[in-house]
Amino acid sequence: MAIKNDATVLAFEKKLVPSDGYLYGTNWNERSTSNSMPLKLIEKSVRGTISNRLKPAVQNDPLKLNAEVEKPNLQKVDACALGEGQDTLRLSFTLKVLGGVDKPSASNGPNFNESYPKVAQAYIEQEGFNELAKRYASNIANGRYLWRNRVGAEKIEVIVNTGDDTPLTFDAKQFSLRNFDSSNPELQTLTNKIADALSGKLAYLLITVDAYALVGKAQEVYPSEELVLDKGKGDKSKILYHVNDVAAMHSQKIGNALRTIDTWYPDFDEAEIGPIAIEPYGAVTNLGKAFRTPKEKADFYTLFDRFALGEKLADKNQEHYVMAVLVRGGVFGQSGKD
Amino acid sequence: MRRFLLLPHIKIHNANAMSSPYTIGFPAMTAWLGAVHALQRHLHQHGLRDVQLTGVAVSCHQFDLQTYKGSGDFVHSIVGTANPLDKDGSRPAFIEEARCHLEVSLLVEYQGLDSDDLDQFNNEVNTQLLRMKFAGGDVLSAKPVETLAVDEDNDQDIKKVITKLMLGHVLIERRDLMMQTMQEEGKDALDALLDHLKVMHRASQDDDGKVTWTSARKTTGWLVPIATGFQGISELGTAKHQRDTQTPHRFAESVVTLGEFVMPYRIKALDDMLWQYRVDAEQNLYLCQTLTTSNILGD
Repeated sequence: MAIKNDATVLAFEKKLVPSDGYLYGTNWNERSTSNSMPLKLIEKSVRGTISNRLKPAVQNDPLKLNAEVEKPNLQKVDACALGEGQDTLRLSFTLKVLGGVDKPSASNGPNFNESYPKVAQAYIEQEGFNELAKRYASNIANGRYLWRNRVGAEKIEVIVNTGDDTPLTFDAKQFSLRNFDSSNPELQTLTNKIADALSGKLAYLLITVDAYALVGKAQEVYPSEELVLDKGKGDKSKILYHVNDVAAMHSQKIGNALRTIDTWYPDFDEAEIGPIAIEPYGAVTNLGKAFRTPKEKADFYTLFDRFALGEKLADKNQEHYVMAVLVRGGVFGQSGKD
Repeated sequence: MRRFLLLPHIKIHNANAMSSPYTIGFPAMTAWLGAVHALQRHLHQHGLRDVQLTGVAVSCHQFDLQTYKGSGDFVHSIVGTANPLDKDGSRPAFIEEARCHLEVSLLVEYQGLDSDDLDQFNNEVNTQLLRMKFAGGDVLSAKPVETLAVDEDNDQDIKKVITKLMLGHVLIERRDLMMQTMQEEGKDALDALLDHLKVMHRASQDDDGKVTWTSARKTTGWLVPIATGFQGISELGTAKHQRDTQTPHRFAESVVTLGEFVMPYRIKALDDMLWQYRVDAEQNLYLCQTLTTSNILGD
C-alpha cells in the first residue's frame, strides 16, 4: 500500500502575480514618443431590438410577432472606445514572478512535508523551470492577454521591461497562439529571467509589459466586465471595470492568459483549440468543459498525490503540468473525512 | 530613543476586505500585525535573530473597495469573482468575497538591532516586502524602506515621523468609547457598538414652525467597527487535521470593537497609533491593541 498524501490543509501562493491591466489610447506612429491618454468608460443608453429566440406560438403568428418586436428593449450599458484621433490601444500591466514553489504556504501533513520539498527541488534542479518559463514568456510576447482586443488588430507590438536598461520588443503577430515553437534571442532573454525567478535564483522579478495594438480610429476596446450578482434597482446591464477612472482589465484575466500553456491534456489533438489555461481540472469556461477529468486520471489531484510523494509520473509533461498548477497556486487540501 | 522602520506606500491589490466577521471595509488589524510578524520571522531566519518588531501603525493613503452601487440603488453590492469550473465542467456556486485595492504605509517599531546590521536589515526588508502578502492581497509595488530614530520628548522628531504618514488616515483604537457607553448607560457590548455607528436623524422646529432636520452620530469622528483579535471559547488541545500539529489548538471567535480613522497630524503621542499583540491567558483573550489602550486599562 502506497503512502497517502496526508495534508488536509494545503495551500500554495501564486508565483505569477500580475497587476490589473490599464487601457490607454494613443497613435501607432507616435506610440513610443507621445503620451497616451487613459481611456474612460462611456455609459450608453441604447434602444435594442428583440432578437432572442421566441416561442413557436409567437413566431408563427405575425400579429403577435409584430407586437413583440415593437417593444423598445431599452438598455443601459458601459462601453469603452478609443478617442476619435486615436488608432492604437495600449494595455499596461506589471508582472511579478516569485520563487519558492517548493514551500507550500500552509501544510499540515507530516508525510507530505517530508517528501514534497525533495521532489520539487529535484524538478527545479533538472528542469530549472525552462519549459514553463518559455511558455509564459511566449504568452507575454504573443499578447494573448489582450483577449478580444487582439482580434482584428492590424499590428501588435509588445514592449517588456525587465528592469535592465534595454527593453525587449516583440512583434506579437510573429508568435503563434497555438504552439510554443517560435524562438528568438529576446524571447530567450525573457525566458531565462522568468526561469531564474521561478527557481529561486532571483529573489523576485518585476517586469512591466506595454502592449500596443493597432485597432483603428475610435474603435471599441474591451476592458473586463464586472461580476455584480445582486445589484439593486440600478438598470445598467453591463458594468465594466475601471480603476480611478481608467478602464482596466482584471488581474485574474491577465493571469489566466499568461498561464494558457497547457498542451498536455488528453484531448489536445482532437479538441483543436490549442493550449488551455492551467487549471486543476483543465476547465475552459467559455466552452463549459473540463478537459482533465479524474476519470481519465489526468486531473491535477490524481497526478499531484503521486508526484508529491516521490512516485514517477508517466512522462515529463505531466510533471510540467503539476508544477504549473503549483505556480498558479490554490488550496489543494483534501477532505479529512475518510 | 525609539527606533522605527517605515514601510512607505505599499500598493496592495485584491486584499481581503473583511474588517470584522460582520462588516466589510478596511482589512482587520490582525492582518497587519500578522504580516509584520511574518516579516519578523523571515528576518530571524536570515540571520537577524534578535530583531523584535514590537508595534505597528497603519496609515491608509488610498482605499478602493470592490463594490458597486448603480444610480438609484440603495445598497452597495460586492463585485465578485468567478471560480473555475468543476471537474464535470459545471459552474460552481459563487462565493462572495469582499476585496479591496489599497495603498498603505506601515510604521513598525523595532528593537534589538545591532547598528552594524542596519544595511542588511534594510536590504532584507526591501526584498522580502515584494514577496509578501498583506491581508491576503498581493504587493504590487513599495517605496524603499527607511529607518528612523525618534526621541519622544522632542516634538520636532514626532512631527517628522508623522509627516511621513501623511496624506492618509491612521487607524486608532476607540475601545474607550465602548467602555464608557457600557459603564455609563449599562448597555451590552453590541448595543454600545451600534450606538456609536448608527446615524440619528432629528427634527427640530423653530418659532415660525419651520422644521429642520439634522443627522448626526453619537460622537464625532470617523468611527468604524474593527476586529482586533480572538476570544478562546474552548480548552487548549488538539483537533483532528489542525493546521499546525506542533501548536495547541483552540476554537475562538472574533473580538469586535470600535476604531477610528484620524489624520496623522492629530496624533499627539505615538502610542495612540502603535498596535501590539497582547495575550490575556486568564481570560482567553488574544488581542491586538494600541499601547495607549493598554495603558488606560492598566496592563
